[in-house]
Amino acid sequence: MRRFILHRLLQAAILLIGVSIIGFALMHLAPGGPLAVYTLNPTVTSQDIERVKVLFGLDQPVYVQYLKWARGLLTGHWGFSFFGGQEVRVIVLERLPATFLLMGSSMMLALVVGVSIGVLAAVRRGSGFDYATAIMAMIALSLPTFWFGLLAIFTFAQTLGWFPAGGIASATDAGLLDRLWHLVLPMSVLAFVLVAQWSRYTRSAMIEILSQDYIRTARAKGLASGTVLLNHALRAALAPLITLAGLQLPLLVGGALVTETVFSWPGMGLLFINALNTRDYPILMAILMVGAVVVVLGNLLADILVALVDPRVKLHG
Amino acid sequence: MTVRSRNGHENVETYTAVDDRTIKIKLKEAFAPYMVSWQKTSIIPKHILADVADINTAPFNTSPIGTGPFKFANRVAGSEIEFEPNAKYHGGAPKLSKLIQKFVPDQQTLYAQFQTGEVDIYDTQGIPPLLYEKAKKLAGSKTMLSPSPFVEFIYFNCGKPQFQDKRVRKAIYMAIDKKAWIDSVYYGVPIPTLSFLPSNHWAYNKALVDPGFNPAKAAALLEEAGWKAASDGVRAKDGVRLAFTMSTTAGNKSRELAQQVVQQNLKKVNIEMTIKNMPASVVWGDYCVKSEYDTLMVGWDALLYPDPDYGDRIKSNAIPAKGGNGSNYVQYENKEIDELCAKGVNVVDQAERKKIYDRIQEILLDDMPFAPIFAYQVIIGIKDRIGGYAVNPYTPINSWNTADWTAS
Repeated sequence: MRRFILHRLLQAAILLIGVSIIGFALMHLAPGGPLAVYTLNPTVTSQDIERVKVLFGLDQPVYVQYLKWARGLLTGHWGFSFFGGQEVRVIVLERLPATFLLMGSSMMLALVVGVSIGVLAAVRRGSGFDYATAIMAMIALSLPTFWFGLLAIFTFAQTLGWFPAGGIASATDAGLLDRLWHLVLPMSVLAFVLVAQWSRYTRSAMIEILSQDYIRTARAKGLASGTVLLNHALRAALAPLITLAGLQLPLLVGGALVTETVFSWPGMGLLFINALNTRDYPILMAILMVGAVVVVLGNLLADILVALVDPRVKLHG
Repeated sequence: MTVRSRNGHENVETYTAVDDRTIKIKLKEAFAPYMVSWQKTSIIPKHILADVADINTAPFNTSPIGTGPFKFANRVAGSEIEFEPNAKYHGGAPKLSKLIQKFVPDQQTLYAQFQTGEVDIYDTQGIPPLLYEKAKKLAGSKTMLSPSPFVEFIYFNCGKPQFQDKRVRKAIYMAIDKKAWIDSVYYGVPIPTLSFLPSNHWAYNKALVDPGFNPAKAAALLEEAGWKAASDGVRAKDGVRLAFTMSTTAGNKSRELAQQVVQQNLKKVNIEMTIKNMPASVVWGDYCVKSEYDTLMVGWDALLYPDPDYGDRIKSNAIPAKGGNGSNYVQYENKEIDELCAKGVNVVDQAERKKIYDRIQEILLDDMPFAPIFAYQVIIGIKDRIGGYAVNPYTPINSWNTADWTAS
């Protein structure tokens, strides 16, 4: 087990270096750049733009810029934002809690609701409930999130006035209840899509397991159907679900680009969209690297957990 | 001190402290826009920043102090900035107990927040023209039009073979239905203009005559200039087709619609226009600055608006593509314009200046290096409970009089 983890971490390090090189190169090779924003400001002249270019080091060859950036990253200096001039590490750390809150709560909600629906749909395969949830899942997965988010705002904020139209807290009252009240709409919109994924995965995993011989044996022994379902079947279905959880883990730090924008939720997704529009390279690279690290760790964690719950899986280094 | 622009400050000969509260500045030569260079000036506190080793990492940057009516109180990253009143403000203590500037990235969401009362003033970019009629009918709020210094243009790259003859540029101006553009795309909100200045500006040349929407005359002018329709239906001259691309920021819905209006208009006079929009970071980069484009659809104001000086965008030594310093992206060159621009900033008397700028605008309308369409108006939404808010065409920021704002 230890050898397996060490091996995977080594692989991860090489992978992350590769990701950083490709990411950095793609960002700089793409036409346009961070200085274009200044062109639209009439008080900024072309001399000013040249001066800023030198100041940011953008006049140097890309590999020099990369090496400078990489050395900074390893020594804990993530650089400064091109716009606003704040330290990138500070900016990213400021935004993480908002994204953790939104993504964490919607993933938890989706997990509970999604797995429940999936199990019920598998047990009552072919029933009205099974079809209804299948259709709902199809709708959830094919709806454009921005549209669904705007629809939710229009219905529940503008028309009914039950919830606020975006933001993380009220200006006048930022207590716990107020924060939860602001959380409901964006969390539900996100969870709606995630529930669809969870329920479909759970359903197919459960259907496969329920047809296995040992389930029939357990039933034949006269065990209560609830016990069979929870102790035998669901436990065996855990492995694919853990893998799905591992795949979704990066969302926890990456945030939701569209939902955060629509609900003006000040998380990582919104930060990324803004940085992308202005080509704020230091911020984009920081988000890319944080995301890549979590993808790697999420997969590693999922593999280890699967091995723990499923004795058939052996980890080899 | 931080100032709006470096422009003019290199021209200073001496600074003299007359007394504790007065500074006398002597310039090497007269520079009329200099007063505007001081707009949006903020005083940098010596007692806080004098001993700071690196100004880039100074705590001052995230908790600034200043001399305005409000003090910085708190910032929620990516969401809002909170201000509290500065009781010692020189113009009298502000009336509001708190002022919050919210950052809302999506216009639809901002509109919803304005409707539900989570936001009291819908400012900055303003309510989208599409929602104007709806906004006017919203209970408990009113709308205001704030004249903007930004003028919408079609920018011609005069360095391209299609646009070297001014008759082509003028024909395009006449072939475009500007009224339909303003009415159908922007719901009649913007104000038409024939110059780089909005028509309500003191230096606007009221004698300018609109050549009008006249496709027949446009076609005749193109014929006269030697651009005849070829077998593919597009005009050509000496092997050059009268075909070009028009670029702007991708995703700007109003501009995309306007481009379609222009495209249809031009097709009627046998000109082929292709829409080629790109992300802001691409189109406003070298593509614009180094004059790589054919035409642009863009909104710009004068360098030091409300001063009418426009030299930075029209002088022949201001073409970056030819090594110049400035923003003459249309690559326009005209000796008389160069002289007039130099004279315009050197004369201080407003009536004298007006004559110079009248002539500049007259020449530009005739040479048409860029086609002026309209000056924007920002649609501002204000809840009825807010008082004291006032638009001011002479400052680009509508928070200029926050000390007078009230809330009930």
